[in-house]
Amino acid sequence: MRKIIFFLGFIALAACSADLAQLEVEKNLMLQGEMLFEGANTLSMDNDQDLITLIEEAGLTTDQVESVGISEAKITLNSSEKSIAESLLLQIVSDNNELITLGTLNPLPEGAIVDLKLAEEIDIKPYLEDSGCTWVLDLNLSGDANEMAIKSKIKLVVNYKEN
Amino acid sequence: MSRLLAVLLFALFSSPALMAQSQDADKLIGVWQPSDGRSYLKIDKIGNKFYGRVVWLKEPNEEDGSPKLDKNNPDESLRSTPLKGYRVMKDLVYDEEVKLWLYGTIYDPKNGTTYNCKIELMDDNKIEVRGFVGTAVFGRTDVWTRLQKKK
Repeated sequence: MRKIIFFLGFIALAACSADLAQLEVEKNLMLQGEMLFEGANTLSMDNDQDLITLIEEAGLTTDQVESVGISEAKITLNSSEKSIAESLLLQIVSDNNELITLGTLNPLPEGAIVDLKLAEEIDIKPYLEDSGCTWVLDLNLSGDANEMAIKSKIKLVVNYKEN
Repeated sequence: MSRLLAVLLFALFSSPALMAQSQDADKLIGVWQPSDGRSYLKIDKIGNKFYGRVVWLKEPNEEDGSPKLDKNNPDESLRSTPLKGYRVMKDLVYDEEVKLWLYGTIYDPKNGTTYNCKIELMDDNKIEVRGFVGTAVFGRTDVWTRLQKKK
């Protein structure tokens, strides 16, 4: 009898648990700031796509999403930006979540497109679901600039439960 | 009509209070010098939260001449981040009732440890910054002075 109960329990558990699958979504950012002076500066962008918008094309619901990580963050710098940018630090913040670092790069290598070194164990799902979600790029500059609008392309990895 | 009047009265009496609250909170914005005089920190605001960054270091470089990095960060992948420009103070929110900036953290790059943080304005140009673990009883307080523009 005990064996039967155990077997039935196992079957029920297996039926309830769903496999985790991954969906990769590319997101473009345009981080902006003005009146930038030599030293520490900040560019930012209000998040324009919440979690629902990001996953709707794939036909997923937010209940299915377990976590959202980042597998790649590329920053594109034009020649004038490159000539004064010394280091980059990409972060995210929202009204009810603390500012966290997503990736960093120091010093900047050659080339117009640079890859950030990503932080370990990032989950930005709580940020994408929250109000006031903002992408923040801190950069150290060796000179002044009236304004900057830096492009970034991020690969998000959505871990979700298959139905 | 009475509803419109109520809305107008509410707007009339609540706006100055809200403005005063915002002005009080924003008194934290500026450049501050901790008591050891070895750095300047610029505090600014993103959304409704306050953040402090290192904008000047008395000794910005290591002995070999390379810029000081966040070499004690618990996340190894972030240890190449320069200390100059680093956001060491994060996520402080102004609590109007107690007139304190609370719920944030302060990071000590010397040991890579993040502490809870609360700030009290002593006067317009002095703040008391307390870093603590768990309860505010166990911690350390430092007085920071606002850096004034040279006239």
